[in-house]
Amino acid sequence: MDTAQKTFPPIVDLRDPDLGLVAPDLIAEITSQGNAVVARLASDRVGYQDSIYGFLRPMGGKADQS
Amino acid sequence: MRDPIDCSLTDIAQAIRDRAVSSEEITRWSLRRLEGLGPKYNAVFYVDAERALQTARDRDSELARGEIRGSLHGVPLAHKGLFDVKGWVNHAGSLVLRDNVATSDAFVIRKMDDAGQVNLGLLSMSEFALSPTGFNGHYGQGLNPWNSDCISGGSSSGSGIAVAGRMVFGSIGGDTGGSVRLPPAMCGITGIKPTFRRVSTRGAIPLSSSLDCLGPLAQTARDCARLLTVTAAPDPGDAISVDRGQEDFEAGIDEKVEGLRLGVVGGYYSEEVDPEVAAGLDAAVDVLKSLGMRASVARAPDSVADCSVLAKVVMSVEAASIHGRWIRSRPEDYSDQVRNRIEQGFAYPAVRYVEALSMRRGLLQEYVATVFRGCDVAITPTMPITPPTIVETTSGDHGHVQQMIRLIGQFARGLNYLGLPAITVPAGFSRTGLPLAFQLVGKPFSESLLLRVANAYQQATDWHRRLPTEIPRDA
Repeated sequence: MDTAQKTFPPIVDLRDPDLGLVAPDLIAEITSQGNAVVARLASDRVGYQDSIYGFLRPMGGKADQS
Repeated sequence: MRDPIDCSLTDIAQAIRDRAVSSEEITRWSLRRLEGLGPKYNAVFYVDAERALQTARDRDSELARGEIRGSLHGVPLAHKGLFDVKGWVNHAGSLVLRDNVATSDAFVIRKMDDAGQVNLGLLSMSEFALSPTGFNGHYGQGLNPWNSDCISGGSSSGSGIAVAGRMVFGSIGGDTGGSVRLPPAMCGITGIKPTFRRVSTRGAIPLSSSLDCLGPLAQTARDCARLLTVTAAPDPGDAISVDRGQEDFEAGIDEKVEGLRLGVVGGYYSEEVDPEVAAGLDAAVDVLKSLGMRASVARAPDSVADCSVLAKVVMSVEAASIHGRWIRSRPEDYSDQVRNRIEQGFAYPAVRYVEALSMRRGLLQEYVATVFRGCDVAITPTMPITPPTIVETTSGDHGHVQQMIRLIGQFARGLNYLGLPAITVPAGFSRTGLPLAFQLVGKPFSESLLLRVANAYQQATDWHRRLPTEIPRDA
């Protein structure tokens, strides 16, 4: 288990046989890498909660809110 | 009239309008090719010949009365198999939805019907749009019409094959991580992913609601402009679609590109690039310079590589939320490759998902400020490699297969996270005769500019006009 896996373990226990996952080792590896990247970036970039769909608005988009 | 096989969508639309050919004649021609070649290349899920011919006859009758529905009047098209078309099964390449008969039309289908299309059927795609290669474990792998040992690209595999093989004159596909850019890059046609939610996705089977985009695949940039003009309309029924009014993307497409600034993006977009792909890109830049564009080196922000990872986090989690109940209750109905990708979404904490979405605004602003600091349009390879063989993406060393699949989407996926528009343009051939392509990227809502530059390039080249080597002129 590498540092990323230790620091950002997946939220589900991938060893749980009841889950019937196709490739638990691969899932663990990919998700730990993804979690590590998000956590690293989030530490200095996420200062406020933004609308999921409103991110284009400052660029000239006008989201239809109907 | 010219042989239809040498005609683009806009050529054939004009020929129908001029009564040089009837809609019924050209629909029969398309049906013959789609029903003959389509199954051979795994390009088609469903063809409704009876309905198509009736529609074509209706279009001819209307024309005889002097009535023209719109810019697609009488033109035979077919679209990716993830759109609702009333009365047709919409299974999105899956077994899970094999009995899902649509009870209404998707928004884009209705818009194209209103503009006069003749809809021939639904084209093949990867299972639930989850493969950039065109892999489908249930209905067969899409085969490249330039070399059927190679992949066609996905997930809009049937759209890429059918347009390149001159079975239909255009197609609407869906792009969550490159799916309207990768099949065109591998099949030698044009495809544009518009700005996020410029085209309503209502009535299309979703994969990832924060990333899904719909866009056209066709022979030329002008064809794509026509299809985008018809489909990029405000949709009051899609609460998150972007309302920019009705824009005519063909209107300024012939304007000169002289003086426009072209940014050749290095760094991330030059890493792991095959020398043949790099040479193709250099040659394309030379063509654009010869048209008067001013080229310079542009820089991508350091965060650009992270955007690809962030896209994966968002896509996996959203796909898992959509498929969760089916994965738990009917796991055997998914192929292992697709289940594996969806299951990754169960392993990301909610906090990471929300963080990944929350960073979009900042990373988009950083990308635009950095890449477009000194240019109007950026150019990159669509993908770093030439189209691989099917064997390279399905069997053998697992690590190598994963590496190939990662490379295919390397330059495409991050743009879905950022929501930016991008167009793929054919740019020559490799030594083995496989298509090369580049990708033009613009600021949000710059589709007209991208289409104009692509059109200028296509006026100076004929790569997009070439018929795939395996495809007969007569079928």
